[in-house]
Amino acid sequence: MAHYAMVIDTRTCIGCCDCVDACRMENKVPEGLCFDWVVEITKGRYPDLKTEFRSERCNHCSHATCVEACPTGASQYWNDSNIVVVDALRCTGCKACIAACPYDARLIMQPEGYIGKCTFCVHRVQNGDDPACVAVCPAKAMHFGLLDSPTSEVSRLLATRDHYTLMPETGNKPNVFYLR
Amino acid sequence: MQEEVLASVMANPRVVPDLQIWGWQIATYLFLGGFAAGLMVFSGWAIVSGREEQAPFAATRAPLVALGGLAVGMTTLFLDLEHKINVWRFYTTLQVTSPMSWGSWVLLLVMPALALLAIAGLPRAVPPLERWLEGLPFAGPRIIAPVFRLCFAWRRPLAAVNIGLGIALGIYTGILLSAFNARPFWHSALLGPLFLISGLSTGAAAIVLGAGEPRERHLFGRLDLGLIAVEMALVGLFVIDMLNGNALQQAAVARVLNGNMSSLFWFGFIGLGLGVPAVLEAAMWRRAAAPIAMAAALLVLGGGYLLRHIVVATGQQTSWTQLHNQFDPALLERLRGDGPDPDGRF
Repeated sequence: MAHYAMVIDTRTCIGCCDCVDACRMENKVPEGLCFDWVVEITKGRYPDLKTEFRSERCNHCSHATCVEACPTGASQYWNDSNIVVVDALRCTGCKACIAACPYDARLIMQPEGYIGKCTFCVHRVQNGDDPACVAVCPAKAMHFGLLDSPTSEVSRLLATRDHYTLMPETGNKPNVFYLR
Repeated sequence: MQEEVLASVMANPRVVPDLQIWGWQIATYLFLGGFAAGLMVFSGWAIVSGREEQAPFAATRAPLVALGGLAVGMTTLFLDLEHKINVWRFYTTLQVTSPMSWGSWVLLLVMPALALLAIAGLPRAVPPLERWLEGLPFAGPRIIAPVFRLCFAWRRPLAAVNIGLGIALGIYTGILLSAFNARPFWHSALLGPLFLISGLSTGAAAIVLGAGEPRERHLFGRLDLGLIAVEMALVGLFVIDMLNGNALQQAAVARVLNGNMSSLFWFGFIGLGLGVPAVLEAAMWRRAAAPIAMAAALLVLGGGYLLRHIVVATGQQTSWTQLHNQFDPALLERLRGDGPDPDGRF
């Protein structure tokens, strides 16, 4: 099973939101919706405050509760990998996957009604390209690749840098990693 | 101290900041599913245990009422789908990890089983309709009359099947929600039994409303009192489960106990939906008075709907993500450490 991961360096991310715009352009995301977003996290107590930016999206979990909840098999792993995609031709819009996602990363596509989400730009990945958000990042803070290969950029970054994932306590095994 | 604010806009409608994906359609479906399940179980019980004389409404007309209720429920379920054109996709696969997939197949089995039981009871339930159907030219004597006779002869096995499917349907409506780990308020296995008992209680209440004979009304009124007692115990266990759960579950149950849902929960569900009918039914333990029994039954039905509404709505108000979409003036106070709860994140 191909194990894809995204590694985002919160030290170099400047919160410019180019990843959000690139995703909108690449995936023709309908106006008013978004597949990814940027969170500003401020920690500490005034005047000792520290801010970091975090570009968030679907975590393409290895144990994806949205895939388990789908009654028709529309939510599925792409090509035996951990990339979670939705087959619009099978989706009934029952919204079980939205309720099942602890990251609230899924949405109702307007006006069609099927469920949409970040696909890790699977149409680019299968051609060997990076997802649009990674490719466009001006700070080079975003990295994408296979965790199966120990020499890949993402494997090396995770091996050498302190990192975390969002809410691993959900048991979903998320695959978007943030470098501290 | 930590605060998370969105730098870009994340305003996916009905997902962020609050989940609003399931409304009255799902609450109605869960209520009517439980209601039909209760009627199936009691109708099956009346037939299997040989109480057809003692409980004529349960044995003959109840399956018809359940069939109608379930048809309305499945209609609201369909209305809730956002991509309705693909509704047939439910029946091209069985996804073993998805309770909703199991439920759609259970519904497919329930409808014919219930319809056959309704046909078995139809000659005694609505005699003019049966006479008219059997009098139809050609099909009447050749097809319809033999089908009536066959269903009637097989009513006991059919009743047993309906009891099993009724329990499956009733418990599934709760398991559907409890399978969502992502929504803290739903994540309790007690929802399955709670919705099953509530469904049985609303089914008994429907029989009290429909029964023509005082004896049958009295029997199901007493049965309902026992079910209300069990339901109260399960609600108590569910609340204890949440209060002893993680921080998200504690915050979720606080909405019900003393938050935005509390008046509906305490006055609507616990008071009018369980407490008052329990007192009325206990007062009629020896001798039933029809108007009071019917008032109690109506309150039980209202309480059954309220339970579904409260659980469906509250579950969606609680999430793992805690993002603020715009600047919150209270944020400054919290960062300065002089807010009400400087160290709390939730």
